[in-house]
Amino acid sequence: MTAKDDRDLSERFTVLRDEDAAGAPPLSRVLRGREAKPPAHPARWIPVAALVTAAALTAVVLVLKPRGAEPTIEEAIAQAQSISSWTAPTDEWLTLSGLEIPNSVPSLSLSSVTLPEEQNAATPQGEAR
Amino acid sequence: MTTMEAALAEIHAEAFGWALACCHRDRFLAEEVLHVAYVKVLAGSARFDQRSSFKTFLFGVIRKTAMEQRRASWLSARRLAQWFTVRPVPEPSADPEAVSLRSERAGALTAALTHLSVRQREVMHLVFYQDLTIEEAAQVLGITTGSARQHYERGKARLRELLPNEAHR
Repeated sequence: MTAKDDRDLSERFTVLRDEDAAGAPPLSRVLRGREAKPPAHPARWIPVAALVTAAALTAVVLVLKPRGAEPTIEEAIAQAQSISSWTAPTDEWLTLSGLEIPNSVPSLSLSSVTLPEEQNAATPQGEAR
Repeated sequence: MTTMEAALAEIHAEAFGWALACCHRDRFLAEEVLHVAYVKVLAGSARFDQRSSFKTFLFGVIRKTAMEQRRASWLSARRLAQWFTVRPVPEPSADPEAVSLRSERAGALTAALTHLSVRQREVMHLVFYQDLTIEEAAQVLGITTGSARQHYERGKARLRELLPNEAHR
């Protein structure tokens, strides 16, 4: 970036500034403010009114819409059963290989290890060294 | 005319230029923003504590007011009406008087500025249009000087890409 570039930019901004200054509203008008605004057009409220009307109509339709007939008891029970027996198709993804090992706990009724007291009891006194 | 009104009158044209920059060059909105900003200053809701220059203070108020106006108008009836009515973009070039005044160079600059980020555009405007230093521009925007300097350098480089360099011809 050179000084020439900066000067060129400054000149461009100066032209823009001069033009803006020439078209600037007088201070007195800006201070009055509201009078400078164009009068509100009634058409401005048409979209708002249309949205409100559409919302009200939708609400009325939803309230007055006839609901379907109530299901019989048998139908309700069948529906409940189908819901309770439902399983997700992805359930099988949750089963891991090797899960059956922790689920089958080995029996502790007989031990293959011979404890020292049991060994003494089984050995006759005379044979002890 | 009070002292504050005299101070406003002194930099009114520059303040309008800054309001235009903050309102995407929408003249009607810029005038509205300027009015609200002036009322804030005159009523004392925006108080000048003399920590910076009056110009820097006023520009900060104008920028904040423009942001508030944009937020407030987001769901206003005026905004909704825009969806249903086709109206010309409020660009000054649509005004015949402005068209006759606008030079080709300024028009090219205005178009190029739309390709910059908001921050870059603001910094470029404050430095080149308003002749503020980068430090003062940072104060107006509420950012650090380093950040403002970065936006300034990048904005300048981008403008150089977008604008034909008449200085080198």
